[in-house]
Amino acid sequence: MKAFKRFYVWMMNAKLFMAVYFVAVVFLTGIVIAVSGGNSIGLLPLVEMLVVCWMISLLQCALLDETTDYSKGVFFGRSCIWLVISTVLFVGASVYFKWFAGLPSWCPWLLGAFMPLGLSAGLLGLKFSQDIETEKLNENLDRYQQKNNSINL
Amino acid sequence: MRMKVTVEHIEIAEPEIVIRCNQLDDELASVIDHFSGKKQRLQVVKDDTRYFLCPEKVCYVESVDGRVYVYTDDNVYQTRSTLSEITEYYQEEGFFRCAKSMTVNLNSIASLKSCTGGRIVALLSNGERILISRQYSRLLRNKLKGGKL
Repeated sequence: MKAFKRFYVWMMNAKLFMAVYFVAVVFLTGIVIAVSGGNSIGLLPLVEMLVVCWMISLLQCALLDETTDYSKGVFFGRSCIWLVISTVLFVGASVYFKWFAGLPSWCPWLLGAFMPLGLSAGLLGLKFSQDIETEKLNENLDRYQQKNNSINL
Repeated sequence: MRMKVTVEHIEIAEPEIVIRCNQLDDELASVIDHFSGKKQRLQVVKDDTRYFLCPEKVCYVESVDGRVYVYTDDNVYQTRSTLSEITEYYQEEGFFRCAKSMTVNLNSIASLKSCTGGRIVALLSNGERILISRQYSRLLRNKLKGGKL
């Protein structure tokens, strides 16, 4: 039961990331399509994007320990690996599933250029958010410990 | 511990206790704490020897398979008290239930780190790291802000 609960929470986190990446990829694909003269995204490509986002979020949960700083040491290397694999998956899927059918052939490459920026921005956002929260937590901890020590003296 | 108890009835402003001893050991220190209105020390056992630990020396207390272990900076002891009893009794000393089977002394936390999913990693004074789940993180944030649990 404990293992199931842990797995359930892990899946919940993966789904959260999937939702974020899905929004990002739909937005970026939309921009690429708009820039190249198109005006719509099909239902099937949306489902395919969802599946790719699901794979990428699972990969993120497997590769990146969420208790560790993504920007340092081995986790920086892992986040780079994740970025490369994710970009290859997005570009590969856009070519294989023909997300840009009828549009110029450079569209998947434009998506490939945007995608690492978007994903890096996501990781950076997570780091900034963790840093701010960590600073606040430690300020409150210091205040608590000072107050507690003065009472117990 | 055997000791001779003598009570003198004399005219003084407030009761006074004088302890005469060869050596001030843990057990006697615990008795002094009791009479001076401090919280009693935590009674623990290691290698069949009984000790009385000051709560401020405790890093965290963990329950494993029905046994309760007390961790300090450099030692691990066992205690007969339950996790709930310890948490409740030493709440004012900074003991905080940080998981179903663990209570941490907030004064022994060196630093905290926020993680994704609302969780917190606490680095303790003995170098160990403990992960505080989202549910308990919320209570910890509230406690550190001075709110009630």
